[in-house]
Amino acid sequence: MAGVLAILPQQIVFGLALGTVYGLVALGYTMVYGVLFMINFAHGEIFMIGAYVGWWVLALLLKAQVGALHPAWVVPLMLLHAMLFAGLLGVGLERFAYRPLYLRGATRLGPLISAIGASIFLQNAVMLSQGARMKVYMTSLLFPRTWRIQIAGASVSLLVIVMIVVAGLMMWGLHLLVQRTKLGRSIRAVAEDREMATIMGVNVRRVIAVTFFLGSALGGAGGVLVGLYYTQIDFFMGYSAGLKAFTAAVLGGIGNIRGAMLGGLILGLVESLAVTFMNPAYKDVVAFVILIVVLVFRPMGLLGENVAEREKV
Amino acid sequence: MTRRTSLERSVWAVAVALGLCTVAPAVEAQQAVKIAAGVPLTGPLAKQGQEVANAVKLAAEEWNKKGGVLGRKIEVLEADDQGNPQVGVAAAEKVAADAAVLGAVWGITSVTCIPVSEVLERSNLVLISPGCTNPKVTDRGLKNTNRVCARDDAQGPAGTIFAVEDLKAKKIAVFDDGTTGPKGVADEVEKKAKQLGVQALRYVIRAGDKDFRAILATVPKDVNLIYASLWAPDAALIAKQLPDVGLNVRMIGPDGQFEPVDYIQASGGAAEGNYVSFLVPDLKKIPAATAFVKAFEARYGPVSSYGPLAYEAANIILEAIKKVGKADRAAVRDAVRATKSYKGILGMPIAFDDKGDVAGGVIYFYQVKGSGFEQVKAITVK
Repeated sequence: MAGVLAILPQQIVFGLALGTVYGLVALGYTMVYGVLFMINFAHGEIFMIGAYVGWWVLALLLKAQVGALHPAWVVPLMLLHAMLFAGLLGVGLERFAYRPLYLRGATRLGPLISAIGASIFLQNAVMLSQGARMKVYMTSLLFPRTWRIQIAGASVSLLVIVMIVVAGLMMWGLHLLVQRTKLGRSIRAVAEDREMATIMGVNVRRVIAVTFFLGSALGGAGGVLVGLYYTQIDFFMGYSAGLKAFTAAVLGGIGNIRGAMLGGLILGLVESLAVTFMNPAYKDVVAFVILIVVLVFRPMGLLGENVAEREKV
Repeated sequence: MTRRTSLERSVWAVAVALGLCTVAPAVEAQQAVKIAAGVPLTGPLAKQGQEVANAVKLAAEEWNKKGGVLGRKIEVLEADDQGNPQVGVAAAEKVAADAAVLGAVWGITSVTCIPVSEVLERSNLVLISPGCTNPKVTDRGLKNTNRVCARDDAQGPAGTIFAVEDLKAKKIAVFDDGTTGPKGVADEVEKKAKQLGVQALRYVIRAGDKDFRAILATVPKDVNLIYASLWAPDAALIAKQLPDVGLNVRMIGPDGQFEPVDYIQASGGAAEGNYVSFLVPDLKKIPAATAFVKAFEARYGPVSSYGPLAYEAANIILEAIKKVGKADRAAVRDAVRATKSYKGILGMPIAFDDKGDVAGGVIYFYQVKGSGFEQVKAITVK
């Protein structure tokens, strides 16, 4: 047992790193659900495309031989491009794949099927344009292996700290935006009651588009961080990451922004710790058993759906 | 009873017309002999798969230059199995349904080879695998299934002997991904390690996962070697993530890691000094292979993995078709199995035993040096 205790701090660090990324991606699912009551199944692909954009930025910098690459400016550059591209892609998806459906009063299933179609389309588009083979993030050029510190017996690389800080800052920024600004207030108004928001003069279409932009941009940032951390990306990576992030969103209470962050952290920690105590092959089993148990006792997730009066269908 | 209604007559007319239609393509198909190349052409194993397909195409072209076989041209039918049994079976059904196909070079993943061989067996279509190493591939006693690579119960034990005797391993962490091929090797390694009095700890990862740090952190620090029975992309990640958990040990792995791009390059230098066992000797040291290497590299880039074995497999099938002298799948199947002392580019004659295994396997050990592999040892297994 002493052996297990000794590696526990290390596992918690890995779990936190994984969890913040799950949370970041989960935000995209939860925000879209909040305003549209639909699961954007193409969000995993937006995340994947964010990872590709980050890879391209890094690859172009390497090709241009701009001299010493320092993470202090390279990582923000990668994040910026990935977030912008992913955000615009999200807006485009909303405009062409979902809006025509919900404007014509399609049932909730309509946009859902459309999202699955968009997901397959994006996967194949990336496979055809970028090739079916994985791409390798040259993370070690940005974060040398020696950049690590010891905290409470755990060896923590600078990259993990950067991931946690970046993801934390983004979540905090989103929180402020939604709670403190006029834009945030209109997002909350649309989530609460779309018709009433329209009557009160909120431009609902614009709010929905902005929500898609924000959620997708966070997904794109998640893609870059995961690319740096995992060091391998491929066109199919959005599937499993999307599934996990979606699980995190449901675990915390879909539609609830704080719930998505909490769900992500719990899922990451559970996966990491499960490996410590049992056969690693069962780690997904543990994660999903916890999801089921939570849903049995709290069907709306840990923090509940943050929707005051749910739209009646 | 005697008079036919007009409906019946029109049915007959349609049937006759359809019959004529089916005859026409059959005549056309007579014009070429096809051999199939069934490998992952997309997905994580696409690099290795494409090399197999390219080697088969090269063999076919060389035969075509000499006038083809049975007086006809040879075409290569590429079938993408994605290294996935379901996709593989669907691809195999399609190949089996094409009457012009007389043989197949199929498979680098055992998990796919096994169901595919059963589909092809039903239509007497022979297959030679360049890289399916699990014992079950040939142990099921199928008449059509052969392989030109060594078996896992040769490769696993040989790797263990190398690990214990040459690398002085005292406690080995053995990783696999739970699928047929890699798990088979890992089982053999564990068995042999026990025989040699060395402790082997087992770990299972899931192929396609990208973060193995949590599992790696559970490996005891007194382990002094990792046997990674994994494919190149996963092994590259493990090599990269080992320093994150404070493990500073060498890795050794089976044939699936013999891939300069997906293992060495993908590891970003972390694989330096690691070992890989492979089923082909260093071609630079074999005079008979010079022409092949030159021709292949001129068209498709460096030979890096299963290409030479696939080239041999294609040639053995084409030789068998030539010997049989007619487009008869069952006869070709039996002629392939009867291959004795085929002399190709590997510097040793190839013969199949009753089960379709290549007789007398040698396992070659390579060390990662810079961007390539350097042969350091060869172990002959009984």
